[in-house]
Order: sequence, then structure tokens, then C-alpha cells
Amino acid sequence: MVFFGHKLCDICNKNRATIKMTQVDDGQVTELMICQSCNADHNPLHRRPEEAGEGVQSLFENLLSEKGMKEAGGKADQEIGTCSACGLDFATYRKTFLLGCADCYTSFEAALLNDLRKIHGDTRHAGKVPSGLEERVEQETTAAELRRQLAQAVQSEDYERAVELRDQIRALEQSDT
Amino acid sequence: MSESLHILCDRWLGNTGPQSDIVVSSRARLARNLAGARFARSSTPEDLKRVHDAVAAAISAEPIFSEFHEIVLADLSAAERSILREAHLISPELERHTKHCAVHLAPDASISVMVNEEDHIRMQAIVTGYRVREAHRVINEVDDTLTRHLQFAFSSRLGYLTACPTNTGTGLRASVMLHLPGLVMNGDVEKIIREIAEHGFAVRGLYGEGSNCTGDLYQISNEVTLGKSEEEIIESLLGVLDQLIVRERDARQSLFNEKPVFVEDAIWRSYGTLVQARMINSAEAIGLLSRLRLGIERGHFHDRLTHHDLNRLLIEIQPGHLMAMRKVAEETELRDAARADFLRERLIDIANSN
Repeated sequence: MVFFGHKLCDICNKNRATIKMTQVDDGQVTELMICQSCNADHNPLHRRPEEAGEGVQSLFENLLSEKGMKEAGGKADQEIGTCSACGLDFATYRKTFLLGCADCYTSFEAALLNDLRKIHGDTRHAGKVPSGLEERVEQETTAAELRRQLAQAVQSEDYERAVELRDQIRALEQSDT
Repeated sequence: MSESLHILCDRWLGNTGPQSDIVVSSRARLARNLAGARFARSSTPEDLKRVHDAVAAAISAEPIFSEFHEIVLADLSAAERSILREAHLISPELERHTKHCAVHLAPDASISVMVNEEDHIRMQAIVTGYRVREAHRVINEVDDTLTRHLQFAFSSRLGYLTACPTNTGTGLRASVMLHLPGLVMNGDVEKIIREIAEHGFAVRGLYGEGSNCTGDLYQISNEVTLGKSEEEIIESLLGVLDQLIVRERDARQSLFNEKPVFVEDAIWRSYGTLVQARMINSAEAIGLLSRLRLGIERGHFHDRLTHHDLNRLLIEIQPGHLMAMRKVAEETELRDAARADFLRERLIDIANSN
């Protein structure tokens, strides 16, 4: 296995990238660095048999939630742990249905997205944005959309497009900082 | 304080709203939390105080709030807190928790900003009759104004972050309180409640559940707060309500046409009890008042009792209000006697010319 220091995965931007995908096309070499989890999910060569034939509806949603749920599937709630910001443990949330702080949404992201989908049938805000945040929200929404396209590109082995998208995401994130 | 408190709290009832023969009131509330602070139920008293102070500072900084009153819950007696709840200005949740909890009320009580409820801020606009869009417009402006001073917990993906995921996203709960004696009497109410619930709306009896709901008063609200805009949420709620209002009108009309004696008997028996009883508890009173609604429709009380008067009576006969208005003690028997006196005085003359 090849390691790339602490570089984050080009697809999910969460886990450490451990796999380098290289494609040579017309003499041009393109590279993507991705994590094992995304490799398993999106690289057709690594597709798990039970996933074959699954509808590819929203890969980004998949990345954020269902993958998480699959990993946590069947485990007891307390194994999801505690919120790193306020210390609330997940089992308490299950009992009270009350979160401890805004960061709980990140700490328990996978499980919460699942809950939100059950409650609302959706996991994406479509309403009011507080004034002053419009630009940031638009940028983040665009980045999320690009990541979704990136995942799709990788799945369909369109690495040229994937690299293009990766560069767009990077540019967007740099303009942010 | 009690006397002035119930007068203040009931001011929003002052004008007659559209379709008040069926829709008692319309409400819109928004849930907000301050960024960087723990949600209220996991906060220390110091955190709660900081939130309380930050909201109070934001409100006092804005001229449009200059006439608002701040009521600190810990300064009130239990009876006074119940007045606020009975007038629908605070939630039962806020009535129970008092530490560093407050409510900022508009001069006509149509806007209330609850502080340190389950979320740091629960702001609502309440108006008489069928005016959900107006209630939302009002509270949205309050939210815009507060946003100038307070940074709310917000994520671009999930919207406003709330303590309970049932409010995440818009944090909007739009609701109406409906009086449905026609659909209760013809027996359709259970079926209709199920249908509405299947469309993703919450229906609950205001005083009790389902067919045991006292007084035939139901509250209907949106359940979905995420994935739809505020406008979409309100329009889909109104779509359901428009149909329900038509069905209630039809139900009343069919009852009058098909079972006139049955309906007349129900109205006059209720009226008889209300003006003759010497003790009456609030559940019985609400049930009997409900039947008078049909009497108003039949023209029995002329303009001496309107739908609007009846909507107000439903709040005034609640324990906290009664104790404040009639200056009675907390003993249930005394209160039931005071309620009977109040209703008799209020209703004895309305049917004289019949």
C-alpha cells in the first residue's frame, strides 16, 4: 500500500488518501488520490458484489450518509461515540431526541442524516439563508455539487473529467481561504 | 401583575380575522440557536444567562422592538405562567423551565420571542383567523432584524441547526387552530385526521387527542422543515387547510339540513347548561361552548355572540385567566364556581330575543 502523507481523499475530502489512480490518455498523465473507502465505493474494479446493479442516484449522498450507515450498521448506538465539541453521547440523543450543540450535527453526521431523511424525506436545506451568508452558502453548495460529479466521473472511469472537477474544487476552496 | 398580564396576553385576539367561523388563529414560529453556544438543554446556567443577555441586547438595540415587554419567567407565579401558555404566547416547555427563560412580547402580543426554550430562540407571530402567510411574513421580518445582531447556528447543507432534528432546516412551524364541530358531529373527523397525517402534517387535539378532543379544537401544522422552502411549506399546508375548511362548512350545512332537530337540541342544551350551571370545569365549558358555534351559524344569537367572541371565551375560561380576571383562589371548586358565574354573566343575555 502506498501512503501519501496526510493528503485527503480527492473524492470525499475526509479520509486520508491511500490509493493513487493514474490514467494515461493521449500521452497525458492524470492522477487522483483517493481513500480506501471511496475506492471501494466508486472504483468499478472494487465494486462489492452486493452493490452491483444498485441505482446510482446520488453518489454524494451516498458518500456522506449511507456509506457511514453501512459502516455503523448493526452496531449499538453508543458505539457512534460522543460529540467532540459538547461531549453528548449518542445514546443520550437517542433517548431524548435532543442534540447538545450545533457541532453534534458533524459529530453524528451519518446517523443524523439518516434520521433527517426519515423525518423530512430530504437532507438538504432549501429555505432561507441568513443575510451575509449567501455567498458562502452558494460556494459550499457548488463545491458539494462538484464533489458529487467527481464521484460520478470516477465511477464511470472518466478520469480526465475527474481531474478537471478536482481542480475546480481545489480552486473553489482556495478562493474561500 | 396578573390582571394586566392577561389583558396584555389577550391583545392579539383584539381584531377579527378572516374565516374565524372555523379558523381560530394562525401562527408561524421559527427556531433559532446562537452559533458557538451549546443548545439550551445542555447548557450551564452561565451559558443560559449569556444567551438571555445576548438576545435582550439585540432586542433593545432595534427601534422596531422598542415597545416590546420582556417578561422573565422566574419572576412569575405558576398561575401567571399559565396565562401566557393559555394565550398561546409561550409553550408548555417554557412554562416548565424558568431558569434564565424569558419572553419578549410585542405591545399587541402578536409577536413573542421565547428565550431559552428547547432552542435558544423560538419566535412566533400569532394572528386571529386564517392568515398563515401574514404570520410568516411578520416573523420573518423579526428574524431578519435579529440576524443583524445575532449569529445563528446555520449550515449551508442543513440550514438552521436546532436542538431537535424535527426542526432542522427552516426551523419553521406554521400552524392553525381550527374549530371543527361539524366534522366531529358527523363522525368524519377521525378519517380526515388520518388523511391529513398521511400527507405529512401533524394534527392534534388542542385539549385531548382524536375523538376525545374536548371542544373540537384541532391544531394542524407542517412536520417537514428540511428540503422545502418556507413558501413551499406554507403553500402545501394551505392546500390541505383550504380543503378541510370546505369540508367543515359542508358538514355543518348537511347537519342543519338533515338533522335540524338533533343540532338544535345540542345547541340549546349546551346553552341551557352554560347559563344555569353553578359550577363548571374547563373541559366541560369548552365542550359546551363548542356547540354554541353552531348556534351562531343558525343566527340564534344575532350579533350578541360572534365567532370572534367565542374564540376569545375559549381562552378566557382557562384556569390562569379565570383566576386573574375573577381574582379567585387556586382551589378547583372555587374556580369552577367562578367560571360558571363568568359564563352565566357573559351568555345570559345573548339569546333573549328568541
